[in-house]
Amino acid sequence: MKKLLIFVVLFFLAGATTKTNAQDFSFGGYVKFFAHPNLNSPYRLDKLGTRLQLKAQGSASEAVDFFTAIDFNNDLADSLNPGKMRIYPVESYIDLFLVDWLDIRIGNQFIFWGTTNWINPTDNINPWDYVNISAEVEDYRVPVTAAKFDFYPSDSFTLEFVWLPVFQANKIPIELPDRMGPLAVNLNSPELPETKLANSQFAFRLSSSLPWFDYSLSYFHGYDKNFSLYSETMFGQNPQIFFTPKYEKIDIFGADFVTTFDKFALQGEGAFFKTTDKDGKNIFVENNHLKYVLGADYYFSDKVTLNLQFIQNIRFNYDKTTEEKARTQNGMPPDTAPDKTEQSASAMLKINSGDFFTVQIISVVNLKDKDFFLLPILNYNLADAVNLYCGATIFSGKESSPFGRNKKYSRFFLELKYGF
Amino acid sequence: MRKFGILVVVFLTAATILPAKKLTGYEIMKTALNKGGWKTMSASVEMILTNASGKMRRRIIQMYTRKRTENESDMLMRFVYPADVKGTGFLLIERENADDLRYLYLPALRRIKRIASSGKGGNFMSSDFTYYDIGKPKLDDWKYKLLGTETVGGKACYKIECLPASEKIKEETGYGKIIRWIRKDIFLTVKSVYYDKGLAKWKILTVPDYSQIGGVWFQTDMVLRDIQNNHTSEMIFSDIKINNIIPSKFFTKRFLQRGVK
Repeated sequence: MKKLLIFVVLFFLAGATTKTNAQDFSFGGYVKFFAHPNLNSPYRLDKLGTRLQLKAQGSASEAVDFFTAIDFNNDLADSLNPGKMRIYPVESYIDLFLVDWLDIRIGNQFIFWGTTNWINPTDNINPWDYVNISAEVEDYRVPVTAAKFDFYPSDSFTLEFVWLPVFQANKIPIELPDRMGPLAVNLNSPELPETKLANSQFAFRLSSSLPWFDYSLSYFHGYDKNFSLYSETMFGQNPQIFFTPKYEKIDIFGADFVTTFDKFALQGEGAFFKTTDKDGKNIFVENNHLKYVLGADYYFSDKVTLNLQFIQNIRFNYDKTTEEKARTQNGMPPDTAPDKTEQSASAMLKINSGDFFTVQIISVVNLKDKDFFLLPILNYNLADAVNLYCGATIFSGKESSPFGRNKKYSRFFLELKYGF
Repeated sequence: MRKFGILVVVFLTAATILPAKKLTGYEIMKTALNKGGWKTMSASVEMILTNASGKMRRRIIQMYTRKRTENESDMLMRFVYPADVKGTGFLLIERENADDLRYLYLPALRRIKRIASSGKGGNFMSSDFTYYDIGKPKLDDWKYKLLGTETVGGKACYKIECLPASEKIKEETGYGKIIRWIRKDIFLTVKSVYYDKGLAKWKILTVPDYSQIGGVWFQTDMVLRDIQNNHTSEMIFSDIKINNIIPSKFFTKRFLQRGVK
């Protein structure tokens, strides 16, 4: 590990100080201190440490660019690797501009689709790290290894094709009780799709900018990044229930639009999720469903922006009473059955105060249970490229509600970051 | 919606030798505004923001602009300094008969966001300059009156009063009046005083440096002081190139995200 670390640092330093064959080469990154104390007693430190990110980018020729960003993360509070330096690529890819109508990007990358804020039904390529929500996208989204082809038949149309050879799941903690009534609870290892070409995932998006609005149509074929938790009950002298997370195939048909007039920007985004549970009879798998978001930004001034959104999820071939009965028969708590339709609302307020302060408050509330997620972030710009961030990720609500059951992940965060 | 002009040309333009007759305020402004003899321009812009307590922030932006039609321009900008905003891009597409299109690329989010036009009076990149200030104003947006001649920086200048031609212009720009000092020999604005809608003095523009590039006079250093908020923005232009080849495809979302090489 030490040798690897020395090699990587020397590579970047060499790049920064010597001339290379590349026509253009730049080097940068950031240093960050972070402290994330949990907001629940006994207020343990969920994260505490420092990170160095080194970035290098350049052009090997007019037709070839490259980019790489590598994190050196030292988290003293990491329960799996306390105090150990973790080195991992954030993004590393090569861009090919071989012909005028095609851009190709191959490697570890982020591909975010959609026009709405924070909740994007068409954004299904990069997994989420749900226990690592913070101020930086890189912390809570996971880069994917992909080949992305952007075709430009004209200046106003773009056709994107993404090939994902390997499945990567959302990072969601699975926490189960030791016992469920008379049954001892066991959790099996997740069953991930085998890494083989036949299990490749792919996605298309056609997007266009018309004079009055921008829109896109998209399609994703692959695996649901959220697991389906299958259960199997074994009766006998020691009755047990076994849970196995499995990742089911899914097809997602999406569309989005955005338009602006005066001080408003209106966005809409929706997707139909076609799961393997076509007739709604498999209680372990999410039914076919439609999720959409409608929202608007209002620009009070250059310094104050408000975004409000309405989110709805509609399940098809679904009856809650039947679902609850089926869950009970399979040893699962019936109150975990969701409603046929679910509504949420989100708000995001951003205030730039002078040249130095930015306040951002993001919240999502589920309208039925009133459980909510709140993310306030205060950014103070201490000097050029030096920023202090503080804020909190707050989950609240009934224990059985989606956000309420994540209360234990509520935490404060303080980060000091210097970019170079 | 009125069209947004091209960066820098706003206050400035080319030198012209006019017949030795007494010019009206309108004629002086017409000469000043119509002498931008270029179709495309690229430049590096250093922006220095200074707040009331003297704290400074520095930004460097690479910009590309073109006149698409007589009254429509496109502009692509990309921050190159400091590191925390490096890569942030802004694309502006003017439309004569509709709201301008504005797109923001935020590298931290890896997304392009179409943003609403906050009006011509909106601040350009958090500076004291508004989009209207940095664009080329339409001659007929204002009514002009020649107040006389004065010397600025040792050069004889016309002193012109500009009053909004309509309530709409007043609302859009936030200006109730502008007084401009235009050099008599080269028809370049070298000083302006801006008044708010209540006619209180609001901002003062000074031009410490200007130069002739490809036969066109450019203000290469502009200092705008907001005396109501005690805040100053300075824009220093370098590496100005005019009429170089900038393909139309540069002014698209593709190059907003990818960057221009």
